Amino acid sequence: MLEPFPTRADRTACASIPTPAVELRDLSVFAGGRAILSDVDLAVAPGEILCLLGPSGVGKSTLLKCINRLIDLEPGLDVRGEVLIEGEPVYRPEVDPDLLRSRVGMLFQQPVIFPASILDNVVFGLRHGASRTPRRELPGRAERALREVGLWREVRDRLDEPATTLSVGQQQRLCLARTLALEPHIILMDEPTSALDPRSARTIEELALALKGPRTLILVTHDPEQARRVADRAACVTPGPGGAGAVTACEACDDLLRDGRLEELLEGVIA
Amino acid sequence: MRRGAERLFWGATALCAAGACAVCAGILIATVARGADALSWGFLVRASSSAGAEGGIVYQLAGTLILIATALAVAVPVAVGLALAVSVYLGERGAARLRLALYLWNGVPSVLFGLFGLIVLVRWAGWGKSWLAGGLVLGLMILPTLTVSLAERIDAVPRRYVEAARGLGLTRSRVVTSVLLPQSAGGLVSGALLGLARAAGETAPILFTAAVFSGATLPDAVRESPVLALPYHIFVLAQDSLEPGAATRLWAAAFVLIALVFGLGLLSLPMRLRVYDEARDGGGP
Repeated sequence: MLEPFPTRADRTACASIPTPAVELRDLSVFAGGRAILSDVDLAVAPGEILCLLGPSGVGKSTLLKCINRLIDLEPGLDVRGEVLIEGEPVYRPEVDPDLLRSRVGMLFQQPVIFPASILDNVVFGLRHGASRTPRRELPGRAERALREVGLWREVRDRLDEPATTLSVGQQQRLCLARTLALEPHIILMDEPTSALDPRSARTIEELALALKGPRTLILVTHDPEQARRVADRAACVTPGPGGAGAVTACEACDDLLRDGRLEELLEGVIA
Repeated sequence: MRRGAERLFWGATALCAAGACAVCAGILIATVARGADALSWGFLVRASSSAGAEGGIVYQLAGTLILIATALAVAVPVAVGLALAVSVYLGERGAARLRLALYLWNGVPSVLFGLFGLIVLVRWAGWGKSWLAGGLVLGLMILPTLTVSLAERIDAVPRRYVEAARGLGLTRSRVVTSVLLPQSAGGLVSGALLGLARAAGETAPILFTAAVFSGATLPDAVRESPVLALPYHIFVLAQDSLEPGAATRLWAAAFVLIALVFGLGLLSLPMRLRVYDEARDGGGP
């Protein structure tokens, strides 16, 4: 019989990685006294893809936003506990959250294209962000990022055209290129394929697989099959008592998805 | 039943729109018909004479342009600051209070702005009647229109743009300059047009502060340097002149004033359309 809500000791065991790229310790998020996330302990090994699986509204996106402190933009939310990136706590007062965000890339559910040219979109973070990249380096960095996401051949002759002329799948790859241009070690992906057709979704999955290794990826998805295709490990986020999300399992993806174990976890929630 | 109600609603809407268009067209036709005899190139480039009964309106036109340009130069930077305070920097309560103050400000009768200018700028600061005093007063008057229009556009910028930009490491001030202001430029242009249309046609604020009926050309100083202005010119001709020639010139001047406001609207149209297109197409699905 499966325990729907493991003990604290069990959850800490999920976090036993010697030198994690990302580590969450006792992370809780409160909105006006009500917990949205509760006591999350999680460790992500360098170079791996970790999938966060779980039902809608359980706090998976909130969890991602805690890692790059995008959560700071949400008024009225109180974050407690610790987030460490490559061993460094990110919620210390001396940490510059803008610099942190330029080093921890993020891809959203839907592609967010600024009303500007393809080139301007790719170099948007380099030009306006905290990295202060010299102007002469921008075209080279843009080309490298576009090549990395496989867009270079499709757009090299029309870099000055509005980025809105690209298809939605291309736009999502453009957003990934914009993130990669900042050369992040860690990339957070919040259901990046939910707005895409199956073919474009598969392209993003292949890109995720190509990016891991030098980079660590954390991918939020509803789709266990997608997790099976791309993830090294998967964590299941389920609502605990009071509805606050908690990590109830974190293990090798094949183990979590074997023999209906994930379904069992989620059914436990529904029950 | 539902279809009937829909038709009724459509008909009422069309009637309202047609009524508004008919009033505008009526004013335009009446103005052109009565002023047509005086309208010519010479009317635009010659100075007026014989208390407005002869000559043109070149200095009235120049004075009006000087006043509205000054008003814009004063109001735009302040409006940008206030709009950012309302939409970005102030908390919910502070923003609501400032917004309320702006609506109240917008409701102040224009003659009070004129009296404020008379007391503070003309008398207390000792400027006398001056184009700068008039421009400042008009700038103060159109400030809430510009601010509210810009703030509404900033509020309408999709939140996903801000989130994506912050996710790339942009500071809040860089988000303002690189995302919010470029995407709200249309609001500033619309607000400026509404403000300018009002500023160009107002008589009361410049009556005490900047405008004289005759004897002024182009200003060459700040103190004691009044200007001629189209609305004041029309106001005086309408009140005092019994000359038939003056009446024709009055209508011709009124047409030029309408054309000036309309022309400014047309000038800004390409930019407003570009901003509209970008807003419509941008931001993905």
